[in-house]
Amino acid sequence: MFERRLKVVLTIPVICGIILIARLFQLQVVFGTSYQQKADEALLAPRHFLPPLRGRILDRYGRLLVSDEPALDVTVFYGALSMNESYLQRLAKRLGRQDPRWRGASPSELEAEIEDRIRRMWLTLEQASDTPLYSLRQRRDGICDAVERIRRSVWKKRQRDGYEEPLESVRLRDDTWFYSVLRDITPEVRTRIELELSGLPFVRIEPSVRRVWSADARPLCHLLGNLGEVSARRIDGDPRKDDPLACYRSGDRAGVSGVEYLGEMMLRGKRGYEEKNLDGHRKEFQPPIDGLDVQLTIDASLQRRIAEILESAVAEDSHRTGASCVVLDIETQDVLALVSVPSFSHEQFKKEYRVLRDDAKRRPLLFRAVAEEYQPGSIVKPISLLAGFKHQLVDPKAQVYCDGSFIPESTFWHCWTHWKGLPGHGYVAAEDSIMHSCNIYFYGLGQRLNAQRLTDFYADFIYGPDSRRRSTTGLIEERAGIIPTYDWITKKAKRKYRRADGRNYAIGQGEMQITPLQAANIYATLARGTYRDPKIIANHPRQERDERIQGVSAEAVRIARRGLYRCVNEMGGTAYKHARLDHLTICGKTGSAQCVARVVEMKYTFDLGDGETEYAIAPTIENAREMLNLPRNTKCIRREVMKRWPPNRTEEKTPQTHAWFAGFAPYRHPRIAIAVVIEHGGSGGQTAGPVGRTIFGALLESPHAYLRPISYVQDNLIKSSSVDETANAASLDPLATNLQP
Amino acid sequence: MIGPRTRLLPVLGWPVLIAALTLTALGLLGAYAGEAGPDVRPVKATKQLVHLGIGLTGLLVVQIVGYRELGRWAYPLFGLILVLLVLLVVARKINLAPIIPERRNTFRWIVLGPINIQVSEYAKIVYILALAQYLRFRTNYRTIRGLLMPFALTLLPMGLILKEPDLGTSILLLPTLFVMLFVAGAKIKHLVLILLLGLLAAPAFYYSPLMNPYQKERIKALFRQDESDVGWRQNAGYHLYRSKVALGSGGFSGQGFTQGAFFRHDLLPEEHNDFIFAVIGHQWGFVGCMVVLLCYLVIIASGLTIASITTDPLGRLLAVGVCAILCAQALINTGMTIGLMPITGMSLPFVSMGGSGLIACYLGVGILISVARPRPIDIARKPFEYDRSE
Repeated sequence: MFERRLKVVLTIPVICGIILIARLFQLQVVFGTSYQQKADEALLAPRHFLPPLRGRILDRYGRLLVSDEPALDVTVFYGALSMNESYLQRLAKRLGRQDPRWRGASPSELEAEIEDRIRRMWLTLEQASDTPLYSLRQRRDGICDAVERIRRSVWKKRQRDGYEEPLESVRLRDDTWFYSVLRDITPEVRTRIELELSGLPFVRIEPSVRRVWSADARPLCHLLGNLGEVSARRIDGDPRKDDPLACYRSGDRAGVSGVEYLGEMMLRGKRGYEEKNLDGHRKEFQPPIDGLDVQLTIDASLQRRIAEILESAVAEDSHRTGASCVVLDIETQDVLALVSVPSFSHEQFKKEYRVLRDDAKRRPLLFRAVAEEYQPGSIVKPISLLAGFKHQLVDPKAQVYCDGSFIPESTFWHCWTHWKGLPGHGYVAAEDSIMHSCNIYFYGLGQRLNAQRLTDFYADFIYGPDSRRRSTTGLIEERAGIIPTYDWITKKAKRKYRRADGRNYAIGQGEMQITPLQAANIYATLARGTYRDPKIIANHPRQERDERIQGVSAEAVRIARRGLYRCVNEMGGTAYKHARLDHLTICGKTGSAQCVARVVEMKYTFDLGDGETEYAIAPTIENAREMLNLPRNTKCIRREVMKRWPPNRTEEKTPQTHAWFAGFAPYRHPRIAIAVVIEHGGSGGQTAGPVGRTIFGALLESPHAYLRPISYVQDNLIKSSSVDETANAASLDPLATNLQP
Repeated sequence: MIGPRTRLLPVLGWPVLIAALTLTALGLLGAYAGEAGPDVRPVKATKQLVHLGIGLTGLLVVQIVGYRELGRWAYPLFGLILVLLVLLVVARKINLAPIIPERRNTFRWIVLGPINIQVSEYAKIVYILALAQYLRFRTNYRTIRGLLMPFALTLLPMGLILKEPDLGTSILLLPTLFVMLFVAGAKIKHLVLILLLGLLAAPAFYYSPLMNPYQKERIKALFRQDESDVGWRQNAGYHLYRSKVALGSGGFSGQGFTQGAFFRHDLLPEEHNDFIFAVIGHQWGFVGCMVVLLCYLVIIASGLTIASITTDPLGRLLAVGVCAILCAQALINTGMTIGLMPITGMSLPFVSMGGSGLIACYLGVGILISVARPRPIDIARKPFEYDRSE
């Protein structure tokens, strides 16, 4: 009975066996070769990346400023960094198998040994390199955080795609990489590490690069910027993140400031790799592609010369805390010099970063030329005059009487002569108003124009007419300044325009603030007649703007420029004594901008939770946190000002003014525009004027002939013209034809 | 009664034993290759040799005792196994760490000094004994109500093993039950009905909380064998991809003994255990795989022949049960290695490392041989003969 059923039962394994055999045949015989290839792939050891040299940074004449040199890094495998359990188990297994001393040990013993080896590795790295253990730990945690962040985002994406798996089981490319934990090690460190850590499979010494600054780079320290570890957000947002060779890896260094950041896409290059299989044969090799060089528009020798001039100017008076100068080529809009004093060297930045940061008085880390906003003071007067012309509120011939004070019985609204105990300017016409920098004239103009029309025109002039763009060079340090337009007043200051605002803005006071770069650009625009963005990287593909400013007539510009000319070159002009050069027709304007004293020391009170507080008196909040050993995110609940700079010299409320000088030269065919500001320099004419003159002198002396002495110009271009510059200026000015009638 | 076929019976034990030993030898060589290195002692292979010794001793003991005597002990043994399984389930709640340690979040082993006992492996054999003992002279399983008891006998250990958790082993009991019922003469329409009901219940089971997410993931991975998808390769399909590549790269004749790159560098997960078939395929290629499958065919065919020749219903049921369970286990393991089955933790009988599994397999072989051994002429009636008129 039922013996037939046994035969039926036998057919089941036979049928299944046939299916199995067919599948095996398919896998092993039909697709055997393709699986052989896949096996070879699976045999590949983790890629050995070869770093590219980052592009060099050169000045406009090809002088080397920053470059990369080969160096060595100590790298550690991710599994050992993150103490991944399965990786440690694998290592333990291998140890038990390969090392005769550990044969037969239990898995837990082996794992303990591996953990101990990793711990000893950190200690060795600490001792060999003299890097404190906590900073090594910080680096490790930073790398792990970045990788885990990527893992989480991949996991989330896979979950959206319908995969349910624990977070830990997501494997990443990044898990198989080695990460730098010690950079740029010296040969001694290398020997020591090789001696002590040679047997460990998770530590390697790998080629890398270090950034080297040349001697020319020091005065450019702010502009060149620095490298830093790339943040997880930047890895995520990187446009090249899909290319495994070009993308950032956590722990990579990328430009974080200055030109290093601005030119990052040119400079970074593409890494190469070497692939060996686990048996040690090289399978694939791709050399790295070095980054492109970035050529700046800066003239390094001019920059150094100007830095010297500014440093000596700052050193003259102990109240002065810093200075800045911007030199623009009017024709090409190249930035020839972008000086910020005080400066620092690369070594200082690396070793004494905290000292630099905590120097709240001098603020050496501040990139004054683009990142510090100053009240412009009188140097905006030519623009407010142009605004008057635009709205037909100025008659070039009409005169205003200045008796030293604007409103009778007022204590506040005076011409600058009042503070110096001088009589008023008397009858002042449009040109004279700029020449003498007569406040009374501009008070009236500002009041008639009103603040809104005036600031709208300023915005056109400073930011460019058709654009809301605030950054003009692309540097991340660059700040927009403050133009108190209607939007700004209502949104930021949260008030309405007052009657006095127009008067204040017309002389560059009140809330208004601009950067030195913007000041130089104003004068370049004035000299050229059209607005253009200043350029810092010569070989950076960038959209050029060349825009006319609405409502500015040639006649108006001519009057403003003549005012500037007379300001320097005619007896009685505010800059006549201090800024005139015999062989160059400088047009310029001085400014003494009232300012507030800056806080240099504060009492920071921190909330430690549970109602406990602790305070420290320090120049910066970071310093205060460090003094109290608080973590970075501790909240500061109260700040009290302890000390300001400059201290009140004469019991007066206002500290010494910022000294400005801005201008262009030569008068006809202007080629160079500059702006100089000396913090707390006092009178613009007395302090900044001579500095401006010295800088123009330096430009004249420069071997690159940015400017030529007047005799040369007279001989070659305008032999027929009379000495009376003013009469023929308009007819001789080819750029004036650019302007609207 | 004594025909030429009956005389064949005692001879049939030998091919089974030889095939089993061949398989174990292949497994030992595979494990040795996976472990071998310059001056490295193959610890696992040595251990396995010891287990083989114990297994062969057990086989001899079964010969001495005889399967009938064993059948008498079936219920007490079954009870003992159930108690042990309950103990394992309880261990999750109460800490019995020195005896029942937690390994990889499971409680499968009872540890007594140097001896590790994986209860579920022995449970398979004892289950077959008990079921065979229950079914041997009964007729009532030809009614649907009569099927209740065999199912209860199956579901009880199955549920307990599932709780360890050990999905692979517990699933093995089902095909064994069906085959034994089928051979014992249950009505085909009943069996088909139950099978259909089971199939209908499968989706419900899939979406019920009984399924772990990782198990669902493995089933999804099976239907999505896209080898160009790195995400699949590195996550859900990691094991499957590795084992397929190891097998496929073996080609027709294999990479050679200890030559394959895959275990030189530990690229195969669980290489000596669940994926030993891939190791064999990697070393000896299609030829090696064929040898393995041939050995199983020999065991199963001989076993079924023994079952058909023997006149003792208990012997026949035992032989069929052992064949069924070995066959199912081998099919599922090889199937998962080559991507025809979802991956479950299941060892390849006779081949995979692991003491309890190997010993249990040899006990099974011992039962087969014991059934095949000559004994006094049977005076019982032919098996499963009952009044068809009922």
